[in-house]
Amino acid sequence: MTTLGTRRPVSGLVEGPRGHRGWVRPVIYAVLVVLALVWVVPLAWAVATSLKPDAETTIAPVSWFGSEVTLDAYRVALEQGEILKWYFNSLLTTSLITAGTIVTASLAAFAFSRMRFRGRDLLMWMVLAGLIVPFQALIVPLFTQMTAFGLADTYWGIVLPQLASPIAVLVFKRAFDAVPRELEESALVDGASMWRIYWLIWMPLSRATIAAVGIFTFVIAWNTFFWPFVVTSAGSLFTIPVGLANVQTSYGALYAQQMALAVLGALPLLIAFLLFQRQIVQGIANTGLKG
Amino acid sequence: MQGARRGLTRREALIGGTALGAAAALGIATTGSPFGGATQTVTFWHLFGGGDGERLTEILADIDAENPDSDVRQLILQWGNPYYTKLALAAVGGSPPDVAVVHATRLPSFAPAGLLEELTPELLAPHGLTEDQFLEKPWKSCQSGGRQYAIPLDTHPFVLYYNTDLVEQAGLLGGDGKLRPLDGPSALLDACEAVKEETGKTGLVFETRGVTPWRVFLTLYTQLGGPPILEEGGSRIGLDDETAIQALEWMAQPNARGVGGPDVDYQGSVAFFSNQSAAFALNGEWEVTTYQAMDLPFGMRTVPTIFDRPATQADSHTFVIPRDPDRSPERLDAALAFISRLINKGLDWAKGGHVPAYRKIFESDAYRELTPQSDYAAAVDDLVFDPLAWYSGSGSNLEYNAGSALSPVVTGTLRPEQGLRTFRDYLDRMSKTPKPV
Amino acid sequence: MATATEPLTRVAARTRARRIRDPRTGRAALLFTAPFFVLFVLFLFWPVLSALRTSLFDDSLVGSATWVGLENYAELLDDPNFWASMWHTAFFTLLSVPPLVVLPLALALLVSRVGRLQWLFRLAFFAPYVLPVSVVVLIWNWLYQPGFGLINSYLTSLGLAEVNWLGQPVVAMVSIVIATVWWTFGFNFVLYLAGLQEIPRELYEAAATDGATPGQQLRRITVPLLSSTIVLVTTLQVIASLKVFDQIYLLQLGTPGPENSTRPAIQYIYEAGFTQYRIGYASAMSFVFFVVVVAVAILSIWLVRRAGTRTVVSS
Repeated sequence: MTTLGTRRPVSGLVEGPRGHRGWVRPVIYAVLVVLALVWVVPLAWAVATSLKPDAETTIAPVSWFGSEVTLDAYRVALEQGEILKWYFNSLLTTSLITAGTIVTASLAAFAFSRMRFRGRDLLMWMVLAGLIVPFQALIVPLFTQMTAFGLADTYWGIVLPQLASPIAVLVFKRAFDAVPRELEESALVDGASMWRIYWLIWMPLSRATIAAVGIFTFVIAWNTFFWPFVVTSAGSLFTIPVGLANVQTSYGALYAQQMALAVLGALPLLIAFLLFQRQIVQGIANTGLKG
Repeated sequence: MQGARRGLTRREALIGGTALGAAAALGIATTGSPFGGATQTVTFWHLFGGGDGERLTEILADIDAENPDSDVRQLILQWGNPYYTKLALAAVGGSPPDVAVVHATRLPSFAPAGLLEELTPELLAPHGLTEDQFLEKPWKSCQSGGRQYAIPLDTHPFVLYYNTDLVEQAGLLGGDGKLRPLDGPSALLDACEAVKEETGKTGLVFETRGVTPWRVFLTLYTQLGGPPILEEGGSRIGLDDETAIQALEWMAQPNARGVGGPDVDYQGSVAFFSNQSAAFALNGEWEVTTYQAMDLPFGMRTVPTIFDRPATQADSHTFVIPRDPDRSPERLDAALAFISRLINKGLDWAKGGHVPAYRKIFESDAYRELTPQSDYAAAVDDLVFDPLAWYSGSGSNLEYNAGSALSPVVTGTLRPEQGLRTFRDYLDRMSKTPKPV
Repeated sequence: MATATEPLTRVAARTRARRIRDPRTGRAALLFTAPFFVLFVLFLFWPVLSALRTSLFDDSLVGSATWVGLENYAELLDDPNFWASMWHTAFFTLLSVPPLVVLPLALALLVSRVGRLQWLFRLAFFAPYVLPVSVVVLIWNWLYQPGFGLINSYLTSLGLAEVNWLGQPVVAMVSIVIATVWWTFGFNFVLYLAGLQEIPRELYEAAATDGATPGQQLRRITVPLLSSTIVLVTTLQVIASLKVFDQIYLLQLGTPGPENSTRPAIQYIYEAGFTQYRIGYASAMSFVFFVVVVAVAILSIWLVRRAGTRTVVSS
């Protein structure tokens, strides 16, 4: 398991003996600082806009500060009440997806890793094939299917198609493969069922993997736009990405309010990211590398 | 083993708590959103968000308060195609709402397919919803194949907004504080140039990255007396190229003369006018409350008659009752009663800029006194709706593709002939596509 | 403490375990894999077959279906809009993959040289990745505005002309790519960082003592050892770019784009199915698109394998 964020610089370039040292490091810092600032500007500008009075957002030339700092835009955005609904819907669907993915994928991965059964190879190939399937191309048949099941415009409609994650299966399998056989064998000798071995030994040992898969799935599911957009049209079911997509074109929403909504929409994961930076980055990197 | 058991207990607690939470989540997920959509007496679907949505919600609250037998549950869906797709699906699937809002120009996707209840005089009369109670054009637009399928709530025409301060500086304000008439092919363009000279501001701005170029085009094309663009439900093209080119050439003028606005999306066009960068704006009337809320000095009037006859693009919000074989006569009656109550709230609705279709309100003093709404009320005489076709109408495929095709003509990137050709190609394709409904 | 009887009991235990295990694993395996595969078949496998079936009909979202055989496929072969949209997807991919493969690598190399502030740079570059596409679009649409948008405002204050970022063909796609790079940069960036961290420091130190310059070290150590990560990033990025829909659809407000120049394949499929109600035709296009993406993916994986063996051979 790779850990990012170790203090000592693991450099790709060790200083040569010819004394490049002197100017190389500061230059690198300078370049990085400039680029980091460039990267931060869009978000910062959004925040700056959201704190201005609406009438002042469209004056040119632009300035970073208005005549006053006001939270009016946020007040209006929250008063309209929609974004709180979106928070709730996002939290509900994303939690269900994350939990469901972890459970189904780890169960299947355990079987692949620890059991022999007929058709194992075939099923494994199916999982690998599933990695390549572009979800976006299946929107039309999935929608008619959901409608036929009566699940269009429901939470389950949003959640179900996002539960089967081949990449999660592969990541879990890799992690499970690494656990020593002896643990399993001694448990079997003690008369344990495969279920108990899974639940009481493998899963606790794979906490880090569970976290990685969970974080990866959570971030991706939280930010998913296309499928919830297609399968729901009732405003009461909008998740954050879907709800915010309407903001741009609905008349009456002025720019400070638009940016306030954008900031509010970004806030949950941004806060989570600031608090759990290391875990999130590791979770995503490890799942990406292993998968 | 002792240590392991203790760990298990902690873990069990954690898992138990998660399981409870999951059960709660599953419960909510299965029973549906706690925010709406439970069983109710009259179900009402509409697509009004933003300011209109708030206004309508208030009106519904008033209706429920004033009528003890009224129990309405509204469902707000996303404006545009998602709404119509969902409505069509619900109607076909057999579980539609009792009342739904449908743009008059979108009726061809529903009425001919038998998805709507026919609103016969026998049904309507007991609720006071008879033909003579409504303005003629909106009422007629609710018909299909000679039968009535909808009740019009309003018309929302295209209008000309003007900034009274800038316009005054350019000497274009009449004695009554309103814009002087600007009819004729060059009047509006000259006015724009006057504004540019006196104030340095842009003359005319409108959304170019969206559907507005189509609406401007349709207005001018009709003013030139062009033949109907589509016929036979969209399977035949009647567009006259010469007339179209004339209209497009006018549309290219503001930019060519340096008095036009930037290539901008809808919000941008609203902002350009609201921050007083432009003296004139072409848009639907629904932005009136936005500008009023900013204390912008502005006025509104009907689109000038630039060419031969007055015309202005518009559409109507109407109420339909989707067909539901399981709906009881009592429920149908409740639906009609609800529609009648909504119609009678037309004055509140008109404050949002729309022109009421109900005569009693349209002709009332209270409405006449609403400014600037009453300044463009005369537009109802010269409305032109989008051509009737299954792929046409407000927020439809046609509006977006037409807007996309004609926008480069406005910005001067393409010549009128080129934009027209792209538009024609699109119409060609669509007219040959079999009707899905 | 081995006794004479131990080996026997151990053997007996193993045999017992094996006998007990086999029948149980058979049934248990079913239970373990069932949840995943039920979902998998229902929502990944079945839709592919369903699309194939529907594509043979003239099916409407709200109406009935009539058999048309391969007519939908014939139509899409002739449909200039479909091929234009496929090209737009390909164009987007061509524009977005190089910067998203190379830039994160360059920055990861730089950042890995920095000691104390690494977390800060990681934060700055990765943060946009956790934003939903709608937020990204709101922000960039606002940045790109003519007149009072930040970018054009700075351009005019420098005496340059404004750019019509989203309203001009080609420029519009470039603007979309810029927003995409800003947004998804972080993912590849952390993959590279992780890959770099796995290269043992000793290799560099040994090379340095042998007199290798930083440039040589980069070429001979870093890149070869990072090659599998580079290839992984490239493959993932190509596949992700081919599936583009969200940001193009939203930045162009659901329209086909300036002079119909930005609409990607997925959007055209979406429009055919949901605004024109033509499910049959949309299914046919979905299937063709699906085949193309799978082909590209398999090709990439094959190239991965080849690149891997070549690296082993060369180093």
